[in-house]
Amino acid sequence: MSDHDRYDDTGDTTRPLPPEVIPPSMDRRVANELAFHIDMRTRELMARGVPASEARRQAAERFGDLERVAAELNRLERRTDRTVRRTRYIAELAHDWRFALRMIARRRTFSAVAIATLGLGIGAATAIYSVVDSVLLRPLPFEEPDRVAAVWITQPGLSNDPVLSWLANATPMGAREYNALRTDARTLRDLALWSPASITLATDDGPERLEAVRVTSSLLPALRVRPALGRGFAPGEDALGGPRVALVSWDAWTTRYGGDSTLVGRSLLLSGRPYTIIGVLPPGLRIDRTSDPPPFWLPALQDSSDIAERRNRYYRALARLAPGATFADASQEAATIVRAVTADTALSARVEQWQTDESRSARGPLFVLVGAVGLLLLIACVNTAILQLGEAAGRAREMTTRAALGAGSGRLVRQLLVESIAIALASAMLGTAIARAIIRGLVAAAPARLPGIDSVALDGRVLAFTVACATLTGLLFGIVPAIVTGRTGIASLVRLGAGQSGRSTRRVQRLLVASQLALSMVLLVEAVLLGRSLQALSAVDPGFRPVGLTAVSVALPSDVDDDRVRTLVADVVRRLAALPGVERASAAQQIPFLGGASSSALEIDRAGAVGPAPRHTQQRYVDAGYFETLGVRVLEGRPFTADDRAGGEPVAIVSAAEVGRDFGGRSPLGKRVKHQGIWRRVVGVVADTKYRGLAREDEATVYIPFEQYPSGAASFVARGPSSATVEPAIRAILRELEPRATVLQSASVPMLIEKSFAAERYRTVIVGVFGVMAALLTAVGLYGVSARAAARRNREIGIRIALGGTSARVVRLLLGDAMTGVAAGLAVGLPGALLAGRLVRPYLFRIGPGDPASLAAVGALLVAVTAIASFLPARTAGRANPAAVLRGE
Amino acid sequence: MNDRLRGTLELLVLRTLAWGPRHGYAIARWLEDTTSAALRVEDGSLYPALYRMEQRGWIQSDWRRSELGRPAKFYRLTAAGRRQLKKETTEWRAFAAAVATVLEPSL
Repeated sequence: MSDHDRYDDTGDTTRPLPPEVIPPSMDRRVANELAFHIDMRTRELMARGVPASEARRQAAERFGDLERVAAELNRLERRTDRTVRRTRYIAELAHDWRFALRMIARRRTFSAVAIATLGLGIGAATAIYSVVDSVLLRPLPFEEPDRVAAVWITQPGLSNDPVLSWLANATPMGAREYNALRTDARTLRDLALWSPASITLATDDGPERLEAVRVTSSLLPALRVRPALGRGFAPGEDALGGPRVALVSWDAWTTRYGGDSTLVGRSLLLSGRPYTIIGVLPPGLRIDRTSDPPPFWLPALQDSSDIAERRNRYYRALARLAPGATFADASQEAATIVRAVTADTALSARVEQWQTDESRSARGPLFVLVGAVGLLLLIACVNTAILQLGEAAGRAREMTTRAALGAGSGRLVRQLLVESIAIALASAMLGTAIARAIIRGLVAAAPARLPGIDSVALDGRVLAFTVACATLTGLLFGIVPAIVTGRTGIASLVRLGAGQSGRSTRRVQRLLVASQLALSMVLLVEAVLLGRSLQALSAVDPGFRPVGLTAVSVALPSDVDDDRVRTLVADVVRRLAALPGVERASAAQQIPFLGGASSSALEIDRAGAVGPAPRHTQQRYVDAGYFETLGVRVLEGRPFTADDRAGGEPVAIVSAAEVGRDFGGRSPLGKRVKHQGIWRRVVGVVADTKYRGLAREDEATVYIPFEQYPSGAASFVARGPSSATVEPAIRAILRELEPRATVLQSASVPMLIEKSFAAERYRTVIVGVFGVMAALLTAVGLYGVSARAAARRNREIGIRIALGGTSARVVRLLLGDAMTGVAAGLAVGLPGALLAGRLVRPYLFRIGPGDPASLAAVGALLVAVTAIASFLPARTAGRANPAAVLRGE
Repeated sequence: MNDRLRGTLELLVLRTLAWGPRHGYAIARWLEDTTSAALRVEDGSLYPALYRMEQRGWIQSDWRRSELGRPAKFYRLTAAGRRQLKKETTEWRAFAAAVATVLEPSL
């Protein structure tokens, strides 16, 4: 093979060489240039017949002092201006990029698969990041948002109480604690209270139920926010007997009132009372990001209940940290003040950054998603690395040439890395499109409780993340193949002629396949654990029959008296039950899963014996038919009857959990319990029902006849027709009987139950989708490796078949290789999966983090995936025609 | 090498490159052939001249494959080099004509 032939395919004198074949250092470039000159001169002399050694001598002589010239050239080069060097570097890099793009375009299949794989990974990661960013990271639109604090009373002693544990870490505040903190706390500025409230707005179409928020006058100053129009609440307006003034949100002002500036100063009828609108809030202002921004803001602390009942605590508090104070200081000071003013040493306080506090419950689940998407991205990287490594074997010839031409391994590595990053950036573009779609799904399906989910978007911050993520990804999946190729490129690629790839390349490839399997196993186990726990959750018996139940909650006007409530509720139930298709109807103050639950201390009459202090017990006010309508089993005694009426003997029914907690499991029938100051005789025991969530433990509950404790909030429940027919029916009945009553909420109970674990379903579905993607990517990687392995062993297979080997044996041979890999992957993945299980443990329900069945299922799935992915190429290989194979193509 | 010779060498190199990119050896060979070795200098002294001209922006270099396949540093004329060639050629002609008039007035 002549020199000319060897280089014929790689270029001609009219095109610059790829950068990696140019000597990397200045010294070597100079030496190379001069050596070339002398070599050419030698050649010329030899062509004229001068013997080789003499020719070399003469050439050197004609050149002059080689070392001096080289030294001078180096000196000249070094003097070269910096900008010149920089331009040259950029030109070199530009060349690298152009070359990379050429290579990507040339290897179309590989590039497409790699870009799709990484695009999927980057897209998913970007989408999850955008959620994390908007929920946890992006600063809130207040001035110095990191100094805005949530202030809570805490009751550490309650953390194990099934009824009251929700208060342990976040007890709302009352007027008493507020006033004390406001005057005494030096670490807090502009302490403010707020509380959501429901109001009715008189409109032309009748009363409309709206969400509102009650705030103290200090709230806007605490957030450093000024009204867009008019003024905010003045100090003193937020007090008992204060003026009826209200603020309107920007949205309500523009949509409801058409941006009419004369609204300020006008009077509106809110919940039956005239309120003067004094201002319009700036756009986008909201305190609670977990719910829709309320259209109306009213002054807090105007109700007598705020002042009179000193124990009433239903306000949430926020404040601005005083300059120099820390959250820890503030927590400590607040705790001292709260203890002093309440004389309750069991109380403490927690002052925490606003955003940290509001995302408290969202953070853990989000980190599960971050972990899952991280795994997915890693799998995509490994997968691409595998493919690229396989590709690198195909590029042996190209690499060999470059190495032979003097490209150092560093040069080759750099070229490969630039290619990887180019692929990663292309993937980022695809990923952005994928992320857009995923984000749309994430936001649409998000359970309402995620704060900030409605502001999730692909903005500059997220795109910056995507690019950073892509670059890192490019380095990550590029580095291994680059190093392997770089090393082999110098050491052994030169020896390759027959197209067999290096042993070390194969070893690394096998390692990557195993680690990909291991990563997939971790992610899939996580997905399966969450999935099975969701299944377990949805299979929980709620203690009643939800199917066919429709619940409607109604607010009655505040001025109707108890007798009117009794007759009204009874009338509605009677009319409801008479509707065609309705089997049964009942009323209760609250219906399971419709929201709202209350508790109070329940004292047990122990006939003089000393027992534990009265404990908080869930309280439910239900009518006579309630248990039957819902299908709650009466375990002992009797349900309520029509005789349990106002003026009759005060009676109560307790739940099984209450019997277990306060009666030591013995029958409570005939015993007396004191509820809200009244002694009642226990007449029955009913089965436990889930009320606020299927995963919650059964809570000790006491049932009181609605007739004996009527209230202005009533709910109706009907079994039979679809919810769509019940709600209008109730509206019609109410219009006739009490037009001022408003329907608050109406839903089918099975749907409400579904909604109660929407968050669990949400994250399970996301992790599940990631798991499926991981399995698919793994299959792609395995297929690629197997196909290459089959192609590599083409000749061997041909010989085997020619010598009488059956294709089944060939398939077995190739499958055996793949199975070794899967065994290694699973062995490594197992501890990882156990660790991941431990991390998601708080989100598991009735399933252990190391559940053997889940592990086995995932193992079997991965073995199956491996088998299929390797079987297809193996089968093709087994069918090969030995003659054709041995002929050499 | 005196200044005049250096200036001449640069002019000749520019002239050489006006026909297209060449590596150092090819430039040296062309100089030998066309000047019938009259301007013969040590091969090595060509290179500092090339490097200086590159620094002045008259020529540019890149690495290409030589006729025999080896990587070699090729030089080519830039736009500035082309202008310089024109200018120096004119100057040289004027100078040569002046010298000629002095040395051989009879012609």
